[in-house]
Amino acid sequence: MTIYSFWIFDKHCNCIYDREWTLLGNPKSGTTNSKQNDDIAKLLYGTIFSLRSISGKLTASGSESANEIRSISTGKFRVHTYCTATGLWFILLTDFKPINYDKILKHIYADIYVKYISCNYLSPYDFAENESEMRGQGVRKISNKNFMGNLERYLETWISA
Amino acid sequence: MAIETILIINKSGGLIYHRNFSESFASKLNSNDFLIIASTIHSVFAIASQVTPKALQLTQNKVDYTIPYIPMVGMESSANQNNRGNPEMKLGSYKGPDYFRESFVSWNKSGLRQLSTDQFTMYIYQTMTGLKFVALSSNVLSSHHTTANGTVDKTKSANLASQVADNFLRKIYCVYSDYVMKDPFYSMEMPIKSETFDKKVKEMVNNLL
Repeated sequence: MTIYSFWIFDKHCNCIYDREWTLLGNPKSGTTNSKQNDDIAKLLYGTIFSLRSISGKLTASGSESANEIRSISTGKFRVHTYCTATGLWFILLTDFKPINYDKILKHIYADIYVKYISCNYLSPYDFAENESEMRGQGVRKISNKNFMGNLERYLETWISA
Repeated sequence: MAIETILIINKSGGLIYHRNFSESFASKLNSNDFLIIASTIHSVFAIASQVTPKALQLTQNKVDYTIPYIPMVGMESSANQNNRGNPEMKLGSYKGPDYFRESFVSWNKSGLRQLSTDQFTMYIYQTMTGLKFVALSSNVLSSHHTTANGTVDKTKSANLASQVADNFLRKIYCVYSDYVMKDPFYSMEMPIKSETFDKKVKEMVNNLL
């Protein structure tokens, strides 16, 4: 199992955190919150958004729960998604082996994001500060050292595995 | 593996064939909704290759696209046929029931291949000419969990499901080539109205259950 990149999107379609590892098996390599990844982030968001709307339409009759996407796979890689009720998306790009990363993404949300971003008084409540930064036009990203450090340490085990 | 719906999308994103085999997923949707779904799949398919991670672009690691042959997918087993005294089912108009007996290389190398959600799994098989065969299956990928040392139990079964789907959709493609492409009254890129094709697809889906 290899992890290629990790993304967080907020409810305004903005990418608020991205981390890409460019060398396979090297957890220290790669970029964090890179400007170059802005376009990729938009494509990724669009892909997941469209497929989410398909899965939302194609729900089994009689089921009450929403039909959430678990993973999307191409011939080369797999995209794992975890969407929270607050509109946050946690996205993980890995190799295409059908492994379930739900627990990992849930852990990142519950134990790392909530702890260092949501419960942090100094972190903004909403990363889009005004109207012009909504609808995917946002520029603010997560720069909290504790969050980044903990995320890095947590994902390291899976990158080198 | 229960197939709920089969879609065929032509190379420009139009829906040319659509059949529901049960009412569970499609009951709320009309044919217009399916047209939208088909074109969405078509466009996402193209975008998916654009988001290939940099690590993969840098390293030219060889991915094996070979899909192993799985015997008699979607075909009635010969024992069953003998019992009921049916004539041997053929794949196309003249090919034997299990005409393809070797593994094959998937043409779908960077596009969307599989979409798994809480309630269904969608498999996409793309032909060399850009035609897409989409199967919606109601079985979901088992939710097994990875442990810290990376041992995984059910990777194999999930892999097998996608191999079966690829084998199955390739056979549908074979039936398509025989009953749709050889139909002199069929106009290219238009909705498929052939009853024989419809019947064959239905038979194959029923055999898969």
